[in-house]
Amino acid sequence: MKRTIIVLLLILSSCSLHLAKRTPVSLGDMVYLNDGEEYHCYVREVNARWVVFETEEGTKRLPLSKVRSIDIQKRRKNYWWTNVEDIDDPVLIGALKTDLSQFKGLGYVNILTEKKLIVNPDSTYTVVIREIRGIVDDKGRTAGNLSYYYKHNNENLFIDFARTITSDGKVLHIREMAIEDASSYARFPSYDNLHSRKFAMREVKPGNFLDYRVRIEGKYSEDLPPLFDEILGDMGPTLKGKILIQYPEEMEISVRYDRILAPELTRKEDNDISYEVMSFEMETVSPIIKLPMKPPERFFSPRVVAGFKNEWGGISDWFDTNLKSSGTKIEGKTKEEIYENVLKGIKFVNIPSNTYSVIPKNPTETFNNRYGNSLDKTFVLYTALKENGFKPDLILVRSKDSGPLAEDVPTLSQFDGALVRCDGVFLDPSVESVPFGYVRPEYQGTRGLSIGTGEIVEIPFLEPEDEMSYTDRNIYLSEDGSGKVEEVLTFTGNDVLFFRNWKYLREEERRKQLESHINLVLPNASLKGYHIEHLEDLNPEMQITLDYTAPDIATEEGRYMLLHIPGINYTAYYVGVEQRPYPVYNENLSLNKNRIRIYLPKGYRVRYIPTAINYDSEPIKFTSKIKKTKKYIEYSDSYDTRMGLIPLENYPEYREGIMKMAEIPNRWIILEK
Amino acid sequence: MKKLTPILLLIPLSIFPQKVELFDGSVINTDSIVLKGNKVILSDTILSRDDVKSITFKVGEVEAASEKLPEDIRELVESRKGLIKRYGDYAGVIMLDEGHSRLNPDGTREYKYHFQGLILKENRRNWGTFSRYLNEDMEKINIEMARVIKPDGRIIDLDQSKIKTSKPQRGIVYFAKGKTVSFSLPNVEVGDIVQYAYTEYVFNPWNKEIFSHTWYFGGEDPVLRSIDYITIPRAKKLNFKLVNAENAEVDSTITDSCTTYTFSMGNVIPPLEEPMMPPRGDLLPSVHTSIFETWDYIFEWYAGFQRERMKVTPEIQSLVDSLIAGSETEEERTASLYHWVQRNVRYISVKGAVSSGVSGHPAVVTLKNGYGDCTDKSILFSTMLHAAGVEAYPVYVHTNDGPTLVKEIPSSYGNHCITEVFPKGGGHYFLDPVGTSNRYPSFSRMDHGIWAICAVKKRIDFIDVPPLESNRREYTYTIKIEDDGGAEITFRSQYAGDYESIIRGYWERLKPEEKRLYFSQMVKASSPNAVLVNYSLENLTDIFKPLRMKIVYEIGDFLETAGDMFILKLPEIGARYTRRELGLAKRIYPLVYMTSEEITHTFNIILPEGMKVSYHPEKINKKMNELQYEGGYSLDDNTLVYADDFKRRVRKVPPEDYIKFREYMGEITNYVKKPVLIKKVGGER
Repeated sequence: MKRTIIVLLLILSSCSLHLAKRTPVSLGDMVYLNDGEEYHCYVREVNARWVVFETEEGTKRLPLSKVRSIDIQKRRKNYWWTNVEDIDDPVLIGALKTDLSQFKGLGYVNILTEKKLIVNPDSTYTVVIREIRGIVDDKGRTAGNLSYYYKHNNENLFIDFARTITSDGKVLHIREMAIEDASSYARFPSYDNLHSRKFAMREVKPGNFLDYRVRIEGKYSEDLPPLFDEILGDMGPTLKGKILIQYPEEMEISVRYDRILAPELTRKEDNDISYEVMSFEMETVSPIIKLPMKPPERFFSPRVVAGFKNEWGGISDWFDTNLKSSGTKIEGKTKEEIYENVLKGIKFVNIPSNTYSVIPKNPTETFNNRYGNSLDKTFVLYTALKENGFKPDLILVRSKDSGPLAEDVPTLSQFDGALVRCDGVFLDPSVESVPFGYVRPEYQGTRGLSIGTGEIVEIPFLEPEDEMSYTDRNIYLSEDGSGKVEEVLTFTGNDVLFFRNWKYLREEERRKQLESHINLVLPNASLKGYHIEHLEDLNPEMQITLDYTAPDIATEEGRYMLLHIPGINYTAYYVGVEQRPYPVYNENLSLNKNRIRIYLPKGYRVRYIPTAINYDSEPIKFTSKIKKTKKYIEYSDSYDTRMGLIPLENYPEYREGIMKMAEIPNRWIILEK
Repeated sequence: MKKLTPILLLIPLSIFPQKVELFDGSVINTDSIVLKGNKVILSDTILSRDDVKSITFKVGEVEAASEKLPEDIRELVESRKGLIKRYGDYAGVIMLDEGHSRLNPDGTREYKYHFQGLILKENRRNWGTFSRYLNEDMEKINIEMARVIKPDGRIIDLDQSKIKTSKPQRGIVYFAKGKTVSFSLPNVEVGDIVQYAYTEYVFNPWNKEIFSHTWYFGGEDPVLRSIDYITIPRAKKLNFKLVNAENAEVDSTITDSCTTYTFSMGNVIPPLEEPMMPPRGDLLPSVHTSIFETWDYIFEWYAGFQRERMKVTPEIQSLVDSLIAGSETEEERTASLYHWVQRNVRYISVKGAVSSGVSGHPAVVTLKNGYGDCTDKSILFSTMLHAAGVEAYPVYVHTNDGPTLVKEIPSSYGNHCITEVFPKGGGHYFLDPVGTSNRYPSFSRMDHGIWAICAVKKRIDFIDVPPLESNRREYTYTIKIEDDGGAEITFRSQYAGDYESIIRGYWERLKPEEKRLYFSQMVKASSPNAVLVNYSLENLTDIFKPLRMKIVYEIGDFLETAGDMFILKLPEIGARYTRRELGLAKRIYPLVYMTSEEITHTFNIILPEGMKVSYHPEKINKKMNELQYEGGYSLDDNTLVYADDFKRRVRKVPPEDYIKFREYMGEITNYVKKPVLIKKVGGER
């Protein structure tokens, strides 16, 4: 018996050895020692006394007491592939035949981009994203640095595989140590949900191919109804893009698609369940071009949005009934007082509501915490206004960065923030310096959901006067070209939010900021005095008064003195190209005005002043005037941006206007003794 | 007995709690772990190896305890008014900043910290959000107390269930094992006092012998009282140095078992922010401590890791041989390898234990991954140089935006790793392979003017700012003016040093269509009526050769007409000399640049037959210790030539020289913007 057993054991062990040789050992595990050393290895055994592992240099056996921890390499799909001959996936095999040389200069090419949403009968869902990329040149070296977001509370993300196929035929699988999961808002545990999983693929070099697939599995949650909002295209060209939505026959889904052809509709049977399948396909998506004033990608890329079928009215009713609106007593007789108390009493944390929960927290909780995101803080204002007898409407909104609202797909998850509308005025109680009635640019010119009416409403752009900067400057020129300057800067809108942050600076620091500012206007200027109006309060307007001197405002050349109009810096840089691939994107409308009066030095007269420039078009209007008297020259202008998104057909007239304006800084004023 | 033996082998000897983390995110605590084949056997469950992500044999926890501190809340509350009056212009005032580090005889250590801060402005409400890094296999944290004290004396304690441990968000290229412990105190408002105390217990330090520490007595806010206690075993001695802390109080207490040193300062006012000021760490009062008097131990520890990682494998040798084939000199070999590592190892930082933290991964691993961070790239580069017969080692630095090394206090210093090369002919120099575009022998400006620690050679050397010619930018313009005042402009530029790598890196990243767009924008910035004719970037992707840029563009109204005058202004030069950092009339702190600078311009302006220069500015010459500038016009027949040379040799401009420096720069900027007056021949001016 014993001999037989021994023989059997020998046979079995030789078999296992043979198997061990055929199954390659990947040195993707990590062993960390207490003395700080670490090994890339394969861990063979851990027991009460030892850790046994294989390294490049052979087998090591260390006492457990020396080992701090071990990381195990996950064996992902097709982990046993080591070279091209092992590959049996026809899609990948086909992709590897792509001739990358035709994409020279583009960094990398997406040979295949596939995004799938699969909804199950129990309302769980899976999102699968696969990409096969070819690395064309050194520009593509970051194409293997990837990151995907998911919502940790009801979703989980898996990396099914991430492998590099090198030009010499090797298959390199991702290392576990180059994968990391992180919470996006770890510093605010009460909003902790959004996570990112990032990973770095190996050997991302010209001639190599990357193939990876990421899967997110989630279950339906009322707090965050699922939303599938995907685009095709990124910084590299895409040869083939596919978006697929699969759902049980009896379920109803809402879908909206833009800049992509209508889907092919098919049916599929799986485990006795019938599914509807919607397939969108696109050949050749151009790469995104880096360009100033480019809109967010969802404004111009092929896009598909899908969610469970619903009606906006029904959603707003449901939302209303689920509000935990036992309000909190916020003091205030007027809307403005209540607004200010909410604004300043609760610190704003910029966490989109659709990363945590579409239902606001109980206002008492937010108030007690003394911090909240846009939705929670706005909800506190909403309940406070109601309790004080006003009639507010809660408006759910979506920032422009996320792209336009897909109105055909009613779901609360499209919104990332909220406003209150009261007596026709929109209120945005977010950052602690937002004046009453001001809405941050990211929400201006968007469409949101009125909970009160159940309808989609327009949140208009503020008028240009409400986003204004006005410079009123008097310059007293001396005979040596230096000058004394008295200046008043007036701001409304977004500029107010920026400058009002100066209230957190010390007096000395504010002074230094202003010194830097005046030196941008006139080099080597010296600040003599200043005053800031409405720094600490919530007035919609702020004013900064400055007194300073500067040398060399004008250049003496014999009996002449030459100068440009000081402080006018219009540039045609942003309209350098004759044709743009994308519309021009302005976050808000605006009005910029200047009035600059230059008092002549003693003994000088005006020899030459430039002519005025005027331009009026749909996207912009510019008017300038210049007049001279015996004592002074006065220049004034007004530049009005009238459109948020300037379509391509309006670009030529926009460009022409900007180019005309940009002539002004080059124009000379000539004085003569 | 024989039957029992296998079972006995399965019974673990470990008495520490062990943790198994699974890929699905769940965590199992267990008393025993056995891994064999595809099975992982825990004390009460069996898992598949494929499900297990990590095993930690000793685990630190996060604990919370309510510790009643013996202090008078009323005293704290009453002190508020006085503090508001005195410090009302600040965002907050730190009332107590107290730390106590303790080294135990067995090498474990503790750090206790106590914070009290009065919030004066809204932007300090973030003091209510706590976050601390934690390595679970090395340390545990006990949050002893966290609360808000209201102006009326009410206390709101932290709900301990709100303490969370999670992986912090880092940039996309960073991967590490640590986590953060965080919580947000409720109800934090302006006027509140935030108070918390915690203890970190390092039960498993990376090296039980090394104990060093830097304590800054201040920060961004005024500090009423800052105290640093350090307790070490009696047998050890503390080596310390005070920097900018002449007023610090120093004391020590000795017992039978230990010595406690106390360093404290009161009423520390933060430095005022100025553009391009020295690193805060160089301005704040601080104390630097170590139980070592020499660097030997630390050198040896680091060098041990480095040597282990710098092994020339057959793969590495074969690669090096192929790369240096055809190189005739040691410099050529070094250049080939320098360029190869930059271009072929992309930046990804993966940190596991302290060995990868300080010394990166083995050279062959970085080679196979095709990615690595500064330590990995330096290890690989140094190894490849060895394979090519060139002596080189990784060295530790702190980039020049950080505090200067205190050489007398041996410590684990640095945030970056580069390479020191020791050529056969003698001497030494530095290279930094972390970039992608540095043409040999240039290296990143963030490494200029700092100390470098070479563990293997046991030396600390200073990295000088490269000579001016290594940082030179040359701009040449040929401007052919037409009769109608229009012009064709040919711009050429050539660069040296790190600036070249910045320009090369910028243009390399752009796609062909983007390059065209950006060149169009550049010429439009020069004049709204400029039209791009063509452009070229010579040697853009060949890092062995200098990068040369050429742009040809036309401007219809290059000469400005002002009545009967033509006015010519040199394009673009004014913007190059306009410096945002010179906004302040005077400075308290030095103005600090990253490196030296030299710029030269040559404008050859060819006038048509019918035009003559009627006025051009006189030459200008400026010279002081920190800068030198010569510029001026000359006429050669009908070609007006402007040439200049700007030199700034130093990185730092001291405050006493700043006013003159600013004045000179202002004069230079104004000079180059001065117009030239041109008349038509035979016409009046």
